[in-house]
Amino acid sequence: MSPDPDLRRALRFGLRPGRWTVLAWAAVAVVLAAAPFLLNNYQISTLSRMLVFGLLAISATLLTGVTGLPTLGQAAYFGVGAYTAAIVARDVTAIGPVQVLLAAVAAAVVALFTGTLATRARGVPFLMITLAIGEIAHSAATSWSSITRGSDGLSGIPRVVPLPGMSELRLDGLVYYYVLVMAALAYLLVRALVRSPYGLVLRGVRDNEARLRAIGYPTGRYVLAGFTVAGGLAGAAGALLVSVQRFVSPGDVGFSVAAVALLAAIIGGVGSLPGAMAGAALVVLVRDYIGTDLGGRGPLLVGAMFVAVVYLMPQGLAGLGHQLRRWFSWRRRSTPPPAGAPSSAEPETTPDDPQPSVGSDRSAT
Amino acid sequence: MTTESTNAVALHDITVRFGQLTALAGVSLEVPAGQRRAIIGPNGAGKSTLFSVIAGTRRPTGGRVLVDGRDITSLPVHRRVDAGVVTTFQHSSLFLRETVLENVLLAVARRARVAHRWFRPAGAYRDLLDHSATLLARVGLAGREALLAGALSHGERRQLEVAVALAAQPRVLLLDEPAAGMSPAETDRLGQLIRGLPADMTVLLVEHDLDLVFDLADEVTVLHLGEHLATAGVAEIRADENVQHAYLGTADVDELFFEETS
Repeated sequence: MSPDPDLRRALRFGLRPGRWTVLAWAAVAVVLAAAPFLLNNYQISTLSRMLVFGLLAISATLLTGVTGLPTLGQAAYFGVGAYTAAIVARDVTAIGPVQVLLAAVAAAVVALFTGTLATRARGVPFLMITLAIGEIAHSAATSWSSITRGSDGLSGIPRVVPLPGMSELRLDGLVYYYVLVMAALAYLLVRALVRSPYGLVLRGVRDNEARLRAIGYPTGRYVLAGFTVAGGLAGAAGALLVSVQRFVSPGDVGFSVAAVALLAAIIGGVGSLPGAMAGAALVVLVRDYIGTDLGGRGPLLVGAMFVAVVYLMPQGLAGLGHQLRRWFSWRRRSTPPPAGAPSSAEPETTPDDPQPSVGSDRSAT
Repeated sequence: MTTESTNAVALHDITVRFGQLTALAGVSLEVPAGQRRAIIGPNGAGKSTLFSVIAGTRRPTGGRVLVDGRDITSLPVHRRVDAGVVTTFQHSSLFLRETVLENVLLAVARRARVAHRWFRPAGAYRDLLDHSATLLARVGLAGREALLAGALSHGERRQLEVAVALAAQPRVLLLDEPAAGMSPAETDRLGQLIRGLPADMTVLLVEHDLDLVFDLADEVTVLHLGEHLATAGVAEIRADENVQHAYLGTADVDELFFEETS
């Protein structure tokens, strides 16, 4: 019996993105590129922060959604990255990518050491350990004042220089473009990870870790590697935050930041990278933008939104596209006759298909 | 040592206690390479416990486990897989949120040593995909590759379970009640599949379907209340009075009924 000539259709991320997915990404790219011409300074720096928290949410998603380990510790590695980048920027170089790289490495190293402890646990104990790591990091940021200057924070950070030979970025719009490019690169890196054999292993940990061991995987090592990568990613996000606000204080390492990351990951939809980005954008929008008009009741609104999403959209924002698509194709189907029904390149599962396959879960890209 | 090295699996005086309960009381077994060995016995005989000791999910209280003459008693599960010992599970244990193909691919990728790589997408490993599909075809799941494992029927999950185990390239394959809950037709196909396994693969089988057991096994080991009762060829086991008493011809109808539904 000869195997199927193209088996990639049987992989979750095996096929090329469908037409609508490509169009959606193109639209997002156009909007993001045009944003500095349409928004004022405060709005554009809010958008930059959305990207930063989007990366942080992706690092939380890598653990929470992909690997199945809900975490409240990502603010710790975010903070390690932010302080590292701030010190590098102040004392060594204003070149952004160098700051990001060193911040990521520092955060990954810290994640590797703390992860050897945390990744022995699973589920709620893991959540509690990561919460403790976050609190310790917050305490360290507050009290290790010889390095962090305590609750005053590190200020006077020079403007970022995107590449050697370029001048420093003086406009918020240009800083935004720098953050956008760096975030896009990091996003592509994580996207590759999720689609690779290693990404499949992490999903295997989420699904059935005992079985994974029984086919020969030392799962602890794989989880620790994932924890380290997620930590490095959070560190890179921290470095970008420093480029945006040119200031870092213990408030950037606190529980509220960790909670935002986890909320964004859950609102986005389990394991979905674009979902995590969108979730972070929504949380930042509600907290920093709409919330300011409500006299500091932003967190309350974020909480209400979280409850609403969990109840109304159990698959999160990532499931929204799928829900809409089902709804549209149901409408299309019910309008007779479906002559010349668009033959989309992707084999979509029809709403009446009783057997779930990967086709029905494509939105989780 | 010479006898140990000729045996694919050798158990020396395996004892497992759970508190006061002794699940296995000094069981010793030797399974020559390439043999199909069935392990039978009433419920509570210790069959599954014995399997978990060989597979490494449970440490014995006492005794030693040797595979190809090498002591693996203290090896963790994943190292035993490297040593060639692979188990299927009594209750299907799969990656239900991944596709059928991805279930097999996970085991294939580990053997091919690409599971730690993350710059190429999984879809780029065409030879591994083909190999996974071949294994699926072998267990009768051709054409089901793109389904989520959670969408398979019970019988199909049992088949996938076997495909995943084979993908891990076992030299010693432990099948824990592979026919549980299968229809007669599915059991037939499973029998053919097991018969068709490479002759040098050692197969240990715990199974309640005695027709299947007597059809497949070269030798049968009978456990009773955690002790080794007999090991012999199929004909002798069927004729053995002790075995009849302990298991086959038990007068206790309730117990028989209990076994068959478990």
